[in-house]
Amino acid sequence: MFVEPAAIEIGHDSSRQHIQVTGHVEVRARGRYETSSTVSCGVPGHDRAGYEVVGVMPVTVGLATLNRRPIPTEARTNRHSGLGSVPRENIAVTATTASLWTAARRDLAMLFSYVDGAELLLRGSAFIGLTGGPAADFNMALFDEDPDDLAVFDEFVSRVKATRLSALAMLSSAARRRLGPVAKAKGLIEAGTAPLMTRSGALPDAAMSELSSNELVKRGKCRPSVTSQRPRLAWIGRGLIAHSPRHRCSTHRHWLSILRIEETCQ
Amino acid sequence: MSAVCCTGAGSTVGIWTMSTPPNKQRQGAGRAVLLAAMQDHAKRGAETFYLIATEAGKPLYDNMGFKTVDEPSIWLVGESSQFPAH
Repeated sequence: MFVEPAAIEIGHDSSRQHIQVTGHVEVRARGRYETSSTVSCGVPGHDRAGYEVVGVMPVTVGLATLNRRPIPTEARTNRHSGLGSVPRENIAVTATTASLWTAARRDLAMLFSYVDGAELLLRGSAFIGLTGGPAADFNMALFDEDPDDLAVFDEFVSRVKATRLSALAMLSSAARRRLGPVAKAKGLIEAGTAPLMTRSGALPDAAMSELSSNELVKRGKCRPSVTSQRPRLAWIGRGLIAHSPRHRCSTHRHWLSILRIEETCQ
Repeated sequence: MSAVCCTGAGSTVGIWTMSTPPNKQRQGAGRAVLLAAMQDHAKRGAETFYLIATEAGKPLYDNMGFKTVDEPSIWLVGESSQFPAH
């Protein structure tokens, strides 16, 4: 993994609990997460009485999710101290399957965080996002292989059944070996596969001209529209609607954009 | 009519909720929107794009050079518009 120094700020004030790794991630607590399971710290020997919180994450999580090569000796030896640094020009970025799943969890958490009232949980290699929407597509969990995934999967199923939401669980091929039989035993219906696909490399130069020269656009029936920078999403009936941003935040490097061709009024 | 949502930070960009109504499909709108979105983000430093494909969308992504790197399985409670139970 790539390692670089970063300032970490933790706020314990009950009215504004948060953790911020400057330039990378910021998570604000929205409230307590009600669970009957044991809450423990991931660092051995640091267990103490406490509770978990539900996080709201308008975040940037970028560099740490990528496999960066080459990894210099000093970065490897200092990887737990956060002292390693690598000149950026010496870094080649390659996305592995695991790093893509990590990115998918991060991005889904960000996307779902734009829906008011969404419940989000990122734990280990699992993500749970429940927006309360009417279809399963926006009440979903994503699991990659992780020793603790069974507990999180149980939590997902319990939560979904308690709230009577339509929901879907996406199991990576690695996670499927462990969780597939559990899902079946719990009454979930297998609905096929959904390939994780990736593309790198140069794009055709004509992309934008292809958009403007699209026959539907040329005939005046449609127009391109881009919404970017922190739109708000909300359920209207069975549709998830994007509102224009109310403000822009220049300190956050993350973004969400929606590009669409809309039908024009005739 | 045709829409795509992109998320990300750094050089890896996720593509979500790619959609075109059935009566507007196979007219190049989805491809045009997706290409334009990818190019827009490539200008801002995006190097790798990823997506989770539905059965309906996969031919488009295959055609645009996307490669499958994993085959996750989908498990449902209730109904999904993207992944109908068989």
